[in-house]
Amino acid sequence: MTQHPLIRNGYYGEFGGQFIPEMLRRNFIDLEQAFEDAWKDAEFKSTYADLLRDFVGRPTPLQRADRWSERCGTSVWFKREDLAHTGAHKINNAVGQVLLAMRMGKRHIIAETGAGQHGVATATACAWAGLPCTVFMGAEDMERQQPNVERMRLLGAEVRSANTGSQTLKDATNEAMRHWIAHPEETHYVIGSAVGPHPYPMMVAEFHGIIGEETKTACQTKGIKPSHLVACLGGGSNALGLFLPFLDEDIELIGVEAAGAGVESGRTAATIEKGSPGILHGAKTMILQDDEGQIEEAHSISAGLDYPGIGPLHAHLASTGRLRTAAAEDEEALQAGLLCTRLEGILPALETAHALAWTLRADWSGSEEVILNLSGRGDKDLKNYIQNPGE
Amino acid sequence: MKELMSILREDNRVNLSIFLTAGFPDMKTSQALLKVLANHPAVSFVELGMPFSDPLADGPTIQRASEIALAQGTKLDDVFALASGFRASCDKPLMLMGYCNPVYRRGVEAFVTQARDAGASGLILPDLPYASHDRDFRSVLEANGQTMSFLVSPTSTEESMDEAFEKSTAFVYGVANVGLTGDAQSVDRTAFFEGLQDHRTRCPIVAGFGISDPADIQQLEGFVDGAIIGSAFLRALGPIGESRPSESEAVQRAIAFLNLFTPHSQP
Ligand SMILES: Cc1ncc(COP(=O)(O)O)c(C=O)c1O
Repeated sequence: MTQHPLIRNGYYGEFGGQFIPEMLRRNFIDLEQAFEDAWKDAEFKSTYADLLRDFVGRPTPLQRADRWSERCGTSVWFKREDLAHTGAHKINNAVGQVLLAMRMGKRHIIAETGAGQHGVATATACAWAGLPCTVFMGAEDMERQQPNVERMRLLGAEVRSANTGSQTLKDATNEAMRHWIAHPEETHYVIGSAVGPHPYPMMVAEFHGIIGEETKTACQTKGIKPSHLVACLGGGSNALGLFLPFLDEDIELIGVEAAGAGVESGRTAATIEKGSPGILHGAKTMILQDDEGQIEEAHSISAGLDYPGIGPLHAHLASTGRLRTAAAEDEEALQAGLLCTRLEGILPALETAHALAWTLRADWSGSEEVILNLSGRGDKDLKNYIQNPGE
Repeated sequence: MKELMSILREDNRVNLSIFLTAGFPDMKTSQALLKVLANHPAVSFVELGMPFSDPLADGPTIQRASEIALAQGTKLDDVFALASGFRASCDKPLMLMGYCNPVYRRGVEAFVTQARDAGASGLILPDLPYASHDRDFRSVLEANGQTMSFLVSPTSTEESMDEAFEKSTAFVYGVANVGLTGDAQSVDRTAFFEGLQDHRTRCPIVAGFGISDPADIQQLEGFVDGAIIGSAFLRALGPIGESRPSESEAVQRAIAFLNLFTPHSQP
């Protein structure tokens, strides 16, 4: 892992690093070592692979979205992560990290969650493992993703509300880190996206790499030559999972951020487009901040994208031009999600709907083969969809 | 102004330092509180907290104080103005304590120059990695006569303890707990500081995190050269969150709190 060509001294280009208080340093040394060992260990990998197959239900299909393709005027394929257990890609990482925590002898799992998908996935993995689980969630997110709060509780997890700051994903992450500082020995923190101090971004990406690997295999089987890979960007885990095995190939990578009310509206979560380099949650990356270096609140209808940072690997890939970014607004995403429901019979997560929205307005020639990471299903977003039923 | 390291070295006692968040409960009161700290004989030096939106290592009290300070528009330049005011009123050392991002945002060189001009002694940035210090800070600090103090905690590895004592230029900040600022004590403090004694000749040790009353200070006697009280001091000013104390209330309460710490034997 540490050997990955993208990593140097815990940095990905100029981004990444470990900006953590001393109290957490030992945890990061232990974690990096444990992951490195586990990832080289055939037994760990085969246990993980078995779980992905039997518990998570992988591989997930790569499906041609016929009517969506017709709408876009080019060929679009959906990588159906919504069909993974618990309804989103998040479970790949949750299961992987919980397995790692068991191997490390940890006795308590904590996680942060925005949309609740990562919280549900972690609570699910903990129920399977028989480990106690505490999920930190912003008070505002608990309100707008209520069904997932109930699901986590049914799974036996304790959900703690984060009441500081914007009361969303950023604050839930702060609370999880603080809990870890106070309980370092028994606890493993299952971070939910490709964010945070090294080795989290790369580790989370590796646990999701299965998305890209399966896509590659399916493309070979079906004779697809992908020209574009598209995914929404919250912290960047579903995107990296899809992109990782394709980084060295001549394929366009597009990450779609949440523009909120508009990239220039002052109420946005388009971190790469609107942000600047800075340090958040222990990593140097692109962040939304003011002139004083205070972190600004992000705004998005989608709780899973409502984050003023981005994984440092994405910041790096965007800075080198390898990753192209775009942004979709709240309303546009809602309409795209509804359209996908009608055209394809798939109710997508609002996060995913941002990537869908971009494919509708991109300038296609008609000969592309586009792979879109359908990162999750939208049951958790029913309330939002019902309140905004579109045309 | 006296050099902090020599104060800590010379006085064979636990020098008391008070942490307060700049701009809490408001700028004017901060200024008045700093005056109290400047004049009170129990106080040897001061940590001035630079409020940050996402203070990862801080418990609820300092989180809330930072939030209130920021909500009132406290800027970095206000922090420097407070430091300058303090410098004009006494010769006790003042350290600036905060998180990396606002410092990098200002620019390390610009920040350190302003800190020097404001009469600060140095910085404490708990989330600054050693490698970043070596690359971005060390020579700038040296050129401006500013110090850096690193943290060690009960969870520190031998390597990072060694690095902290090697690289700190004022004192090593001994985190006397496994927890956040203001948390109740969860470890055997004296055992932790006893384990640091071999290093103490390399650099003085100042204890912090969860230190709140004279008994805590007494317990540390002989083990450390100083102790920092933060959350307990802020809490002593009045309930945080509901109504903020008036300036005169805050000043009275601050003096009452400091009076608990027997003015030590005068140097
Ligand atoms: C379905 C779904 N997709 C995407 C995301 C965004 O996260 P990431 O960018 O890490 O994939 C989330 C986050 O909650 C999610 O639930």
